[in-house]
Amino acid sequence: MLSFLRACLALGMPLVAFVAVAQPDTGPYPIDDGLAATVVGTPAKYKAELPQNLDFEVRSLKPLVERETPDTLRYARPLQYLRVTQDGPAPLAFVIAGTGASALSSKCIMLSSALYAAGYSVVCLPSPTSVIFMLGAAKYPVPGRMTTDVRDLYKLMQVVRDDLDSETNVTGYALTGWSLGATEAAFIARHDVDAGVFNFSRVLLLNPAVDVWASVQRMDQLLAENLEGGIDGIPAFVARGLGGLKQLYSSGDPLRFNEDFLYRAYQTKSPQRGDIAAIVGLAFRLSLANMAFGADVITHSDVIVPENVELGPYDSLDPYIHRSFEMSFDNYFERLLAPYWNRDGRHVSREQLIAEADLRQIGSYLAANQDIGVFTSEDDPILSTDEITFLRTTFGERARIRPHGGHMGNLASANTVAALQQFFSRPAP
Amino acid sequence: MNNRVTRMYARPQCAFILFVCLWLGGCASTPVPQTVSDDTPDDVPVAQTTANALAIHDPWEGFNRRVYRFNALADRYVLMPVVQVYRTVTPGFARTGVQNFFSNLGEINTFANSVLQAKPTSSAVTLSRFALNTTVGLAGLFDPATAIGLEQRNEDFGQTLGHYGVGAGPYLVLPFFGPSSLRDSIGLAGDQGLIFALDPLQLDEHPWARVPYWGLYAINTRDSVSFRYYQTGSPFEYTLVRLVYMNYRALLIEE
Repeated sequence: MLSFLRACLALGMPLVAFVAVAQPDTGPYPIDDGLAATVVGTPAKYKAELPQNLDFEVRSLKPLVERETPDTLRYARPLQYLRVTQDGPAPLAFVIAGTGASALSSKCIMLSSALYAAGYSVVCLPSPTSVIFMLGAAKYPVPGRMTTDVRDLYKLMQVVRDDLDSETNVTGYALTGWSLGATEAAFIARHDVDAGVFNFSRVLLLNPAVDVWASVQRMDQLLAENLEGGIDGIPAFVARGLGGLKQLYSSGDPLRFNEDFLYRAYQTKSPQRGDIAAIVGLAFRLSLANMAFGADVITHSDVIVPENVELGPYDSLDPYIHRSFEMSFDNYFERLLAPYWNRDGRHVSREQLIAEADLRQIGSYLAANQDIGVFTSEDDPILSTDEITFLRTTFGERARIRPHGGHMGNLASANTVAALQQFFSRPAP
Repeated sequence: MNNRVTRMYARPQCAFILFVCLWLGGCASTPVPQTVSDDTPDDVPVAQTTANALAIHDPWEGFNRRVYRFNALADRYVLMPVVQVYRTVTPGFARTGVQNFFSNLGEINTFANSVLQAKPTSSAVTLSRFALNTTVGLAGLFDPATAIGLEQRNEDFGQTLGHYGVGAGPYLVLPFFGPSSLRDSIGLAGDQGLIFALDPLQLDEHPWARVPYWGLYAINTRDSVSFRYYQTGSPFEYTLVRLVYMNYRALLIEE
């Protein structure tokens, strides 16, 4: 649009400011490798047109739990969520962020814009796995036990509802979330049947994990199989990546990280599949490192930071970064989560922790409830074929399972956004 | 319930920059060698030195982290609220115009540094851009040069110093300006000095104009950078930003 305007100017043509905007491409999602799709996302020309310059507010809440903030984590204060409200009466949609994501993440903004365009007021909440949530909203600040994480979210949702301006007129509630946030959304919907606070009219799960612990083990596996030398191989891996970047721009073109940079890099360099797998694994590992470090520091678990070390607000974290990144999901489970749930009078078995985080627990509820849908891709690397089959049979017509798209790679595409808006717009059955 | 409200707008680029940060940042773990090996010449990009792009020389980390925190607070309580007002009262095309205007002034530095580095293409492109945008583009408010394929170059005095073998030196976080290095800070001073000496807007003759000029300069600069402090949500954000900045600069100098 802008470049078009500029072209008009350059040619001295009289210009009308609001010329037709190029329509996004609605052809099939173009990246046919699930892992590459996960890294590259939606190429610019396939992206949905979304409203710009919405009046987003970052709201701050008083902490929902009494907890001292360790100095080294004080950046994660206060408890914040993202909100955009309609002027007139409208339903309110909650969006629950994925693993490690805060309410300021770009996916929050994208999904909020899409739902706003469909007539909803929207609130985006941080994931229970984000440090900001652990500090401000988690009763048990070692995330990973589905039952308690979902209770904390449910409580936060009620506080957020009470935080609405008096002039905001809410006509009903809807719920969505992506990745781990989608799995949590399903359990929240189930919990709401008993608690009866929101009576969600629509619930949409975007690329959920079916069995959370199986999914994260697949992410561990990606790293173990594709990163040479393990965590110690990261410097060499980065150096190789930087070398690739240099090569990519050796043609004399100016170095420019624009919107479609990754897609172009993918097209021209056709990187090794193993390298892409390692990047996906590393992205998950970064979220996990953040979460493990946060949980360890808050609970003084003595796993990453020694118990007797009190980190100051400006202390270097270099000595602990390596240890945090060494933490696989398996390690996290064995060294932080399970021990935490078996001390100070708590007794929750490993088997129970794992079983609680599996959508099959509430399979019959999901199958019977006509208001719950799911969007995912057959090549989503967090899912197995069996789990795809489970989603297909459980949700039936309410499942939109595309052949390609990876883990949320196609989320921002015109097709996915249109389907999402349609799901949230259709009249109650 | 609520106490403090800030407003923000959806800016699609921020997704992207954060994305790159995260992918590169995903790699921010390393057996912490604190410095690049001593026998490596300083001008070799960090990526090639010890094959450890993550080992960044940061002897002033305590100071840097304090400034980082200061910047985050200044951003949250002063800069961003002002930018929000600016975004609310200024229509999109006007903000683009302001952005183009300052960007066009910046071509003076890009040109000078392209010449200093003896880069003929970059010099020619930058000179043409400046000539075209200053005239047809109405004093730089519009950017017809990009539309006809003259893509903007990125050169500054820090890169010039790097080009001639000056090492980055220690990582340095500057108040308000953010991530830098000793070399790039000197470069920044040099670039600002050049603009001051040339005085293209004749501010010397209209001293009162300095106030709106610098005010708008600061607002526009913050408006066009989509980074938001603590948006990564990571306790290691300081380290991730340091990593991305130093490697990005090394790439620019090699370019």
